[in-house]
Amino acid sequence: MDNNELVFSVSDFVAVLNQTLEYAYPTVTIVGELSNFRISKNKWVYFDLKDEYSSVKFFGTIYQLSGPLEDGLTMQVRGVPRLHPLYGFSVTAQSMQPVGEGSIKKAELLLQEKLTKEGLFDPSRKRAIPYPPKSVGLIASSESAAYHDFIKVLNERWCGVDISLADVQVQGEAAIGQIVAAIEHFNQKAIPPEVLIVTRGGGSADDLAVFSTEQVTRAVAGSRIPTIVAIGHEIDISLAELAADKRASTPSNAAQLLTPDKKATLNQLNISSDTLWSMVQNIFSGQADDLARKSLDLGNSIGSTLDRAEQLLRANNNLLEALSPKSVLKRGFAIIRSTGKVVDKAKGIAIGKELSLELADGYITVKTEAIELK
Amino acid sequence: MTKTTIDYTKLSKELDELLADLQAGGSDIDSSIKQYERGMQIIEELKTYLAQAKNKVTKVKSTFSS
Repeated sequence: MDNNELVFSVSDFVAVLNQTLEYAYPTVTIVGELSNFRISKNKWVYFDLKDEYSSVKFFGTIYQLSGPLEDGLTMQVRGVPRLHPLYGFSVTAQSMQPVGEGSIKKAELLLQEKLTKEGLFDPSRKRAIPYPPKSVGLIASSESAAYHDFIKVLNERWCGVDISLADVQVQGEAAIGQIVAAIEHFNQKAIPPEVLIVTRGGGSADDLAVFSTEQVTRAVAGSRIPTIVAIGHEIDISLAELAADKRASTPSNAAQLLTPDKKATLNQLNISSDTLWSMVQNIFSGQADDLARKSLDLGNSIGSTLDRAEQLLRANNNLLEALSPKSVLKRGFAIIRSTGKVVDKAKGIAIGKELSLELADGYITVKTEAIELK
Repeated sequence: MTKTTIDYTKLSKELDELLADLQAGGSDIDSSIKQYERGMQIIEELKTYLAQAKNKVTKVKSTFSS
């Protein structure tokens, strides 16, 4: 035995080894297949990562989980390696997420299943988006093409919108906390924006995984402000998009869904102006027609009254004429007068008395020769 | 000074209601003229707004570091 070799107590050895590990590898990031995954007391998480030849034990809390997991997924775990005085070597996990397209998809499906059961994606939860909004809370990376596309299309389409930009990372581990904090920031404002837009461009499954984490999906679903989430291109649908009030296929599409087109609106205003004019014209011409009709009715009404009066007058005149003594004389009758008085009885007329007969065309004086009473 | 701080949604709704009201045809001449004048005024205000208002971007000061 070499006399110079150090001899440790067990506890000293554990302490020295931990110091050495802390110096050489304060944190390590390990990728491997998840196995023996279990959750204890709804708080503690135990699992192994393994490959063909080796297996390493891990320990963590459920708060570091990006969503539900199951054995067989390929996980990337960052943590602190440590030799426990009693339970041996393990890595205390600080963060963990599935990696590789297959595992990310599988983990997303597990989370989607869980959140669907909770009703997070229920269509009845979807709220209407103000159209157009006066204010927007935009959660994006100011350096991203997504941000520039959104602003460009918004400026082309509409005006007068106050946009508050929360400049966040949109991929990688830090992005999750930043996006959640930005959503909370806008929700806590005394005068919150009318709508929240969460957006980023397309990317690999790894790049977009942030938007399918439980934290981001729950933050979107829990927002009091209506949300539009636009991630990637047409084919990528993240869980945050499913949880949003409205999903846009691209950042440009988010601007399109949010606002009307200024040119179309101006055209519509010109049409409204013409419509307004023609409607008032119609009301005026309707009133003019009505007046003309009433004027005609008035004329007709007076005309027929006059006609009736004329007919009556003519009838009365005819009657009057028919009853006139003159008319009787024309029919061959005569008015007999004696010393200017009309004689209507034979009795009382003396023989030899001169009588005057009035006929239609003149007078005859006659002398009474005989009288015969009836 | 041009007015660019109008409530677009409110004015737009008022215009729609006014057009629907005129379309219904219940208005007399006097109120039709008033509605026409108000409608044209709204249209001019909305056009001016669309021509002159700008979008404004303000960066939130918080860094959102987790």
